Amino acid sequence: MNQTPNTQEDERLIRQTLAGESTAFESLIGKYQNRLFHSMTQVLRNSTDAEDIVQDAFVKAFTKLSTFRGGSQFYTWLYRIAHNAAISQIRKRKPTESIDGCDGVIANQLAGEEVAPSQRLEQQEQHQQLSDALDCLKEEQRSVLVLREIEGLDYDAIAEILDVPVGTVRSRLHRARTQLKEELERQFQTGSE
Amino acid sequence: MNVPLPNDEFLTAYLDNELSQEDRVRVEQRLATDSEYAATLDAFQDVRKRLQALPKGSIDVRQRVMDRVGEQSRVATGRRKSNWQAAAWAIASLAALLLLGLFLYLPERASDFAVVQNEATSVEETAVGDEQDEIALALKDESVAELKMQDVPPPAPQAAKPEIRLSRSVTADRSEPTSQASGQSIRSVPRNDRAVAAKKQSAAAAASQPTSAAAERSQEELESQLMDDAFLRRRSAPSAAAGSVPTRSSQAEGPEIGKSFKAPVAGVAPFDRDEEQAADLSTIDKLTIEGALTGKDLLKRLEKRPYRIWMVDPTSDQSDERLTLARFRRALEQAGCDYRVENPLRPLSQSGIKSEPDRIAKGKQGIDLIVVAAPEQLVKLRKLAKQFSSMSRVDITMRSTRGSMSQEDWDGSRLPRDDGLDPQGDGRTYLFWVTPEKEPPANP
Repeated sequence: MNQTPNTQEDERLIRQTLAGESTAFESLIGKYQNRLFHSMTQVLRNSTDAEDIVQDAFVKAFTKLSTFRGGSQFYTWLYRIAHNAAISQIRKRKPTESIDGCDGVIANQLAGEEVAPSQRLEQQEQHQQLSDALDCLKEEQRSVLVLREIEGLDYDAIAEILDVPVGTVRSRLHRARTQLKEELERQFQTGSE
Repeated sequence: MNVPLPNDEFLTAYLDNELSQEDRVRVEQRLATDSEYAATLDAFQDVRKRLQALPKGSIDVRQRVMDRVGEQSRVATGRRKSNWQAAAWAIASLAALLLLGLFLYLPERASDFAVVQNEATSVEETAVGDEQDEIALALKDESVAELKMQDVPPPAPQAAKPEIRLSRSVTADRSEPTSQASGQSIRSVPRNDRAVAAKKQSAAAAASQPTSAAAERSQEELESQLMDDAFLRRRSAPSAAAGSVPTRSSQAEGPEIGKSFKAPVAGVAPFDRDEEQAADLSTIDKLTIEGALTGKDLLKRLEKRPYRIWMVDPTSDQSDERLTLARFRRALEQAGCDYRVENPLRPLSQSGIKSEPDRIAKGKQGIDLIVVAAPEQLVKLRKLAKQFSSMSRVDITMRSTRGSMSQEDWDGSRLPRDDGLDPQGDGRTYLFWVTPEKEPPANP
């Protein structure tokens, strides 16, 4: 499971930034940009959008840095900024199709061929299958999944970021895992036919 | 006592160590005896592993972020400085205007007195403020007028200029006045006092312009409405052939009825942003940020479907910005883009829009692209966009070609995303800044 960032170092960099040392904020960016980018890519399902969101989140964080109280970790606060922007962006797109109508299952075209895939190819296939299955999730389910499985946050932190009760976090997470499981099983069965 | 078995949701919490000790024991008891329950837990663990194994990309946004935060700081500082500067300029301008007014007023009073003393026929001029710039003279004393008309030579072109300019400002963005407006129909006063003549001509032209301008506006409204309908039909029916539909491509260079454009891509949704479209515009975004996008690249991407474009006219008549926008429109024509240009910041009386609610209603239909060539336009656009934002929730994203305009110009006009706009709209609108040095492609 991912570990949480060094709080003391973050606090020092924040103090320096507020004191006018822009290099301190650059350090914060360098520390968290890839992690945030990876999560946003999974939430948005688009790396270009994710990069934009990350950039905007840091800019906004800089602008609002004086309002950061330190009650939560800096990255949690930053993530919330990015997440809100990401959700807004998703909602501007076409409505996400319901899972019942999801046609994102892609048959494993390599299954059944008389070619033994290399380990690398197999991994790529698995990633693609997972990616397709993620596309079928609703954004609220994808969000909790990313926060839990990729960011490694506990239910309380997730609830704080999403501004929902802990019970909601658990139920969304359960639905997300169940649907992913079913999608992956369906892909596997389709590939086996 | 029968204790209900823990359901599948308990497995989720169990996997995440979020169960109480008591519930944890219950789950483990069921796992030990229920193979299907255990298989579900295994599947959840497999999902976790695969998620954590997803390849991680990397980016480096440090420089871009620091550039943007630096820009914001400069803008804030610049605004504070510019407030003082603006006040100083306002005072100086007012003083200059007062002096100029005195300068013009006093000699004019002397001239008027001279005209009366010379018994010149008072001339009542009315002007028709259309493109041909015909100025009709109504003379009180016909005999004198007849004599004077014989005597008066054709006015020099300079005398006609003020009238032409006035006409141009009313019928903004029309083509250059024709030679008919060069002054052949202009009659000068007998004294050949050009200052007086120009002043009276201007006043008369202004007085009479509403008549012809009103007729012109109603004609323009009708044309605008017809074009609106045709354009909207194409946007809502992309599979229909659009080649035969006459389109007015630009309000700035006059209507070009009859020019056909490429048919939009069949199956492309009109107002929805389908994935291809969204991906395409996102690519524009990315390229523009990196400074690699030119107007030519943008034009290639605009060929796909009917685009609704806002293009705001610069305030200056002879500015580079106006020329730049004209070139951009020409490039759209050459590229065969199917689009419609509107200027949302025109006064209602000149825009063909009936009312503010009508303007807002049109805005709700979806703007694909906003093109500007000067930073001051964006300040006005921001106010307008907020109206649309509150009603149609349009997201406006700033992008530019980062051409020859100074960084300061660019910085001063950037719309931050949290500027009160509600980015939950029916599609993205892209703001594109064309710069004077970007020439349209010769052969798109």
